[in-house]
Amino acid sequence: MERKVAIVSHVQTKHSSDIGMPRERMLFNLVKELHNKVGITRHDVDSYVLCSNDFEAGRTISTVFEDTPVGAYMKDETKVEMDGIMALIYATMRILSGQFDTALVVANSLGGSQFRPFLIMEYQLDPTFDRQVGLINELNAGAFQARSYMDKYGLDEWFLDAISARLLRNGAINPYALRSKDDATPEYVASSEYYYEPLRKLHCYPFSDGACAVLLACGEKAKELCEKPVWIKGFSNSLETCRLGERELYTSPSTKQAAEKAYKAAGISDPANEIDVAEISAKFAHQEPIICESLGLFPEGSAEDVAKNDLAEITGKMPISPSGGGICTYVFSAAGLINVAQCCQQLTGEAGDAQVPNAKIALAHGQDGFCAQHNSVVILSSEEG
Amino acid sequence: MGRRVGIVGVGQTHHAAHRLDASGMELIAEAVTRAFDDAQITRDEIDAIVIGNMDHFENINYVDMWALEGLGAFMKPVFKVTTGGTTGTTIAACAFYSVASGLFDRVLAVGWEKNSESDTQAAVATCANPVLERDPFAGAIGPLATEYSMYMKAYGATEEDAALVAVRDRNNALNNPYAHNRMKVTVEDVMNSPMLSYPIKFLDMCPRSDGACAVIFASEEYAKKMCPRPAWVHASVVRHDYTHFGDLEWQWMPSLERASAEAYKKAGITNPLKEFDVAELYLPASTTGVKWMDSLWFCERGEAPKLIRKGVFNMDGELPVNPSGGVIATNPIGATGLIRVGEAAWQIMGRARDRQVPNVKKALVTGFGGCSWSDVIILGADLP
Repeated sequence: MERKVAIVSHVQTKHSSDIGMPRERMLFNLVKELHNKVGITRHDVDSYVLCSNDFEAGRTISTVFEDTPVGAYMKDETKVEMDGIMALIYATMRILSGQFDTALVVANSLGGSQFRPFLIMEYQLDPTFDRQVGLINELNAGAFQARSYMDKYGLDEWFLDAISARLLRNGAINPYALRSKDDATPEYVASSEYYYEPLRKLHCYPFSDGACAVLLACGEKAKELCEKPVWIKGFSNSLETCRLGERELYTSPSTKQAAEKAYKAAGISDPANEIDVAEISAKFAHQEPIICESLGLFPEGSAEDVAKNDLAEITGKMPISPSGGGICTYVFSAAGLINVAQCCQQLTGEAGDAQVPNAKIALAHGQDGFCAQHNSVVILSSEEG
Repeated sequence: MGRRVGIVGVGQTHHAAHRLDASGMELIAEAVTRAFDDAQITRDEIDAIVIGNMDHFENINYVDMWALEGLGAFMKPVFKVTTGGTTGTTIAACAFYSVASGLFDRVLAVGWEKNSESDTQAAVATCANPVLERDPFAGAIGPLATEYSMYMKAYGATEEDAALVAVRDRNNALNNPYAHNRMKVTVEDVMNSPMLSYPIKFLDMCPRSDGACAVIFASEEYAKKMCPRPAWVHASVVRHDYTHFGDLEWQWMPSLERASAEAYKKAGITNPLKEFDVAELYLPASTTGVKWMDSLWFCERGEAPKLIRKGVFNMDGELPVNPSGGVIATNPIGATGLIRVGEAAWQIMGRARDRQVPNVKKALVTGFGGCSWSDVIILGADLP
């Protein structure tokens, strides 16, 4: 990479199961807030990458009504229809190409109040084989994946309860989180109803309304626009097959491959020691260890040990999702971008009670698809390097 | 400042109204395999893939995840982009930026649509405001009929001017073995075809097709090795107009005026009519083949009918437009813009066979979609 790209600023909504306003108003308010925070107008932004989903919006070309409220009139705007972290990656490439100096990334969905994410996922199934049989949905596929991990490493359900409890407690100190409980215990999580054994209600993501906007700029411009730019040091993404039966669900080779490339770009050789904090997109509790292990942050099959020794706590050796992660908020289309925003807070020392001391290198993860079929990794740093 | 990017291979399906012999994934595989053959490479040599279509048309969400077997995308970085009618050019732009960023050397761009499995107009209608504008402007024809009516009133253009464009594009399609509608037509045929929405008649309007297109983009270093005459990307510009149809300017097209002006600036074009050797334009109806010539700065506003009547844009004219037959001959929507890019690239590479324009050095490509959204891409035989 000849050019350097940094995050100038970021904003997110107070996520909710019903945000109570039209999508256009939500986006207008959000981007206006970002403009005011940075002290710019829409004329200072060269390029826009939006991220939303036609199925969720119930409209073909979901961005038709989004580009005016975000200020993209007569601008070079495009749309990525994946997880929001991919919109950030595309925006970074647009700046690296030298064609633009700034890019605004905006991702949103109203999965809480408008269209249920489980239904959005139904339309992702193969239309000829899987969808018509009607046996597979996101929830039971998730349950299969949890069971696959438990069987592989001989674990019972306790680690799922412990992960959710930790994340719910983290959510309580995140002002943007939808769901939280400041005194959550594994017993409390285990008292929630089964959705699909072994997954209980509190092992699954809540349906969320929300949006996130991140402003990127090339190095020189970023330094002009803000005091503490967060530098994008490396990223990658990778895709597995959509045939669940052909995958080993207890592990995530696509995460592993994406991480290897991102680490190489960022010059990281020992991720578990070099990365200070990670925000992981886990839609279900069991996905957190599967993804973290593929990222090389914990040994394989270590979910129970990690929980027992508090390794993933904010005060632990390898803090995972201080924001509360996917168990507290999962804004479809925006989740990975929100992880990036949370990492930025950590790196600029603005994370409040959730602050990991001296965080310098952070990892943001995003995923799409059944059992995290597609995974993306972004490495961020407070130092230009 | 970024890397130079060239197109080194193109593949497309034989487009048709109903490709009953192939599933969506097989259509994708057909185009991808042909692009690999055209560039003489294999799947292993592809670093990243960009795919796009319109989700609602085939009712498949996250098509990148489902189509990976047809794409050859297993364990590769994949990007899914989509912007309605402009999807095809959006895909090309994303592939261009991916390579220009320095992160990938060879990127496969794929657009596709299987409209025979879709209720296309019903899906398109959902992009209009449901209360205010879905009734008058539902589907693609309403807005196009409105804008040409206003253009005719303002500048004295006629229905016959549009028919001349329809005759040009449809007869050009006879030279293109991949085209969906291949029929010899006359101005009388067009004028006598059934009225869809005044002043647009059946033979003025694009069809909906099954088909796919794949284009391979490569960095300067690789492009020079892979292709004797790559089509270099000189500019890629997008401009989006207001959302509501009622807010738009109808007698000219501000998004196309601004996108093309910016692209010409980037590519150093000062006299587009003279400097371009060929154009593959996203003209969804023959009427746009009249009206939008103004907005591409080929002439003053309102002067386009004169150029059309003189045959300036015919195969033997000053600037041949749509040697492939264009969108009114072939329209697999998510692929349509990418086919424009692929056809223009073939013109530069000298691989356009019966529809080849001699000695093409600079080619103009446009994409159209959304609510009067415009994409402009400029390709050239010389390094940018």
